[in-house]
Amino acid sequence: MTTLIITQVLNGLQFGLMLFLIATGLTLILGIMDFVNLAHGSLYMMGAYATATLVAKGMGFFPALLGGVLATFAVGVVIEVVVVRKLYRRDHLDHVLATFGIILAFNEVVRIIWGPVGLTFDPPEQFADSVDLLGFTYPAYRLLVIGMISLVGAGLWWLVTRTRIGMQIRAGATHPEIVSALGVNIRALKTTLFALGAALAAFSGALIGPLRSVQPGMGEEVLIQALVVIIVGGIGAIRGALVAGILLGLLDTLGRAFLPLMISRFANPEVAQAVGPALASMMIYLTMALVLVFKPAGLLPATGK
Amino acid sequence: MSGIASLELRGLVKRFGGLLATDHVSVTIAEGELFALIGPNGAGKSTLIGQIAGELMPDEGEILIGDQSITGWGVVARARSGLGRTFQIAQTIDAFTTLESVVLSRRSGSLSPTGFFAPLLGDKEILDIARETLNVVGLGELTQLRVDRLSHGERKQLELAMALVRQPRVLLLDEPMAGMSPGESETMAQLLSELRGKCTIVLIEHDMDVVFKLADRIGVLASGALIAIGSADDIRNNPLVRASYLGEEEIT
Amino acid sequence: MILSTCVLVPTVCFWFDAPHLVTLATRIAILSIAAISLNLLIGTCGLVSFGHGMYLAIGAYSVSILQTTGVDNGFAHFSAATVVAGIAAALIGPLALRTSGIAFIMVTLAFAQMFFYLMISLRVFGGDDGMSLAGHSLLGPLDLGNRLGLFEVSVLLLAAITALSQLFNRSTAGYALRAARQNVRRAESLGLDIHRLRRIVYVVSAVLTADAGSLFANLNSYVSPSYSAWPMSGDLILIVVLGGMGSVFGPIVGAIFLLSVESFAPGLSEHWMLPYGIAIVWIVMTARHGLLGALLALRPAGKERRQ
Repeated sequence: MTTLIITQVLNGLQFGLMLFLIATGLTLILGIMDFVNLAHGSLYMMGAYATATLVAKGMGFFPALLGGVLATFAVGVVIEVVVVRKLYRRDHLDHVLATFGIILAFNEVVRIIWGPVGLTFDPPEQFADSVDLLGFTYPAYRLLVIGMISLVGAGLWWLVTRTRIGMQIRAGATHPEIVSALGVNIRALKTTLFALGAALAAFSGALIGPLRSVQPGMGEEVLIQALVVIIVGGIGAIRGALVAGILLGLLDTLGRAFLPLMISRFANPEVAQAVGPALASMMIYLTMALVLVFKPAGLLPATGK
Repeated sequence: MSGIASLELRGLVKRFGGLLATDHVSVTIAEGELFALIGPNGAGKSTLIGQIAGELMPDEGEILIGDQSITGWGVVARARSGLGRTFQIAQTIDAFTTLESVVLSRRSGSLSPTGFFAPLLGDKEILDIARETLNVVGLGELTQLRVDRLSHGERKQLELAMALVRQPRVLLLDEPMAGMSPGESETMAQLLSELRGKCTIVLIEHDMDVVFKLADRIGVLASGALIAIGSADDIRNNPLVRASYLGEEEIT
Repeated sequence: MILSTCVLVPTVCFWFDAPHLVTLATRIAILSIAAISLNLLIGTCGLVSFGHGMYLAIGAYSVSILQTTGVDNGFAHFSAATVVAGIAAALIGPLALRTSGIAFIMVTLAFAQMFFYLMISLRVFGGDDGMSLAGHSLLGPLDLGNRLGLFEVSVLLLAAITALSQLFNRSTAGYALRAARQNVRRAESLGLDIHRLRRIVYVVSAVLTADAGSLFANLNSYVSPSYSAWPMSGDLILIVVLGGMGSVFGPIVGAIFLLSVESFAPGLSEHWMLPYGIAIVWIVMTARHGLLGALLALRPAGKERRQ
């Protein structure tokens, strides 16, 4: 039982970190550029497909991952320049609709190129097996995912808080006029930021590839979960996204694993069979509802605005 | 809730971090009095107005309209209890006509569902009152014009009409002449002098000639505190005020 | 106008021996009802709900679940849809309205998605396979399984809701909400309790959408969790915006256009979604006032008036 719990906690952590990474790109774009990018999930999907294709072409896992992320970064630049840039001054409704159109188009492109059936690809060989962790086994690849996301997360934190471009990004969020008066090219900064968000999404999508199937529409479910993470964490807040991502990742995973069991303790198995999964699937949304009641601005809202 | 009422501030304190933005302000403005509030930029006028209107909550002290304490109330509740206001930068609804704006303001007090779901422009009596009020502020010719085509000064006149049509018990006027042309200022000053005695008015205005001419009493705000209250002559001759506000070198 | 639609559309359809056109016309009428209800939020309040598919689904499931228990009384179906959607909206509305702007969009989307997963995991109600209707709603002698009957009922309801929404827009409440949409500060300083009004409109809009959902179940003879999924909610927004949110009739124009495309395009190409998606992006970037606005703009411009 303890082994099961530890395994599920690790799974939850891995899912939570994944949500954090996807939500971070989204929340930065939202908080800094005031742009709602519903097509963020499509970029996640692009990352997974591009990496799967490169792996299928015989490339090693890590070069393929890098290739997939760079390719999606480029797609992000194109989308920003062709569409998104022209919509910053419009209201949120236009953002939602335009990115809605982009999702439809992307899903169809994927169906045309790769077909409607999902792809799968293997984790790197050295991480294909399970490892022994103090007496219980856990898939090595999942540990790799946890490690890599933590690394990227730390890198992101360093980028935003410790580097010049990070300072420009943060300053651009609160005082765009001043930053542009200082000679910073706000336009290029926005393009970079948007593409960076795309790359983060692609990185998550590529990492998830070996764990789940890569298929059209795979980005939407995770997009909505990322939106919940943003609401719970606070719009524009990276720290908030981290806390909320891990919280919701754990809640969701542990809920799915243990809620049916717990309910069967004090209800008959038939009811538990029906109610358990239903309740588990609602967990993160109910958490969001609670947060809205008590802290409508999120758990750790961004400061400085 | 008809008629006019006094406005009383009792020991209002508002802090922003370490800054004392409102420093124990107490004053009673009598029914029908025109009370002007002056003070240099940053003296805390906007903060004080915000607390009276309900946009800011004081940290200490009490606010009363008539005998009723409205201290904890929000903007909506205060407006309903008879507080009318205009804004430093006119807050209008661009897509409406002037007539629609004023009628909406008049009807916004009616709580009954029937009144609220009836056609806005369906009541002849209210339309007449609204036209009359637009006439009073000098917009009688422009009832069908969309607000976004009004000049800056006309918007301020419209705001005043929207406040007056509700027959407020207390009226807050936040720099009604700011940004107006001399002609428009003239009209507004004329309007204000006609309002004297009909309404309890708190006036914030930078135009000292207008303030000294119209106000029954003047309160001088400096660094969040009311340093002097008195008639125009009192204020003119008060050395403290001259030093801190009227631009004279400190005489020691 | 209503009468002529009721008579003309079916006649034309049967003339060309194309009963599926009646189905399309009914679909247009039903989704127009939902879109006009949604426009009460988007157009009047400036609140973009990305979760109205949920209320459509609630209305649809009200019919199918009651049918499995043997209740075929249509009035019972619509009452259940109204009550359940009303309760759901009374719970969700105040929560979602604690936020505004982007967050409101995100929260409404999330709640609809929650309902989607709820219905998928409830095997009792068909899970992700959905439910086939055991029978149709009976409104007295009228069987909504009858294509023509369903069409007439839908058009009549559409006409009623169009008229009501027109009246609402001219009412003090309608003006108050539009005022708040443009300038909340001004509206509140007039003593308008905007939050209360918005909560009411949210519930009314949800309930009307649920009633459209009950009609929708009868049209499709089938109910699926996907009604609550984001593409349905997105389609409803698209209908509102494509038609033009400024007008009560905009959503009808939007529904005619969008549903016609969705019904004929798949016959032209398997991959119609690609140009369709691109077209949506293009329309958003170019046409600011919807199709109705674009049509109206073709008229000779009226003279600017200023006395």
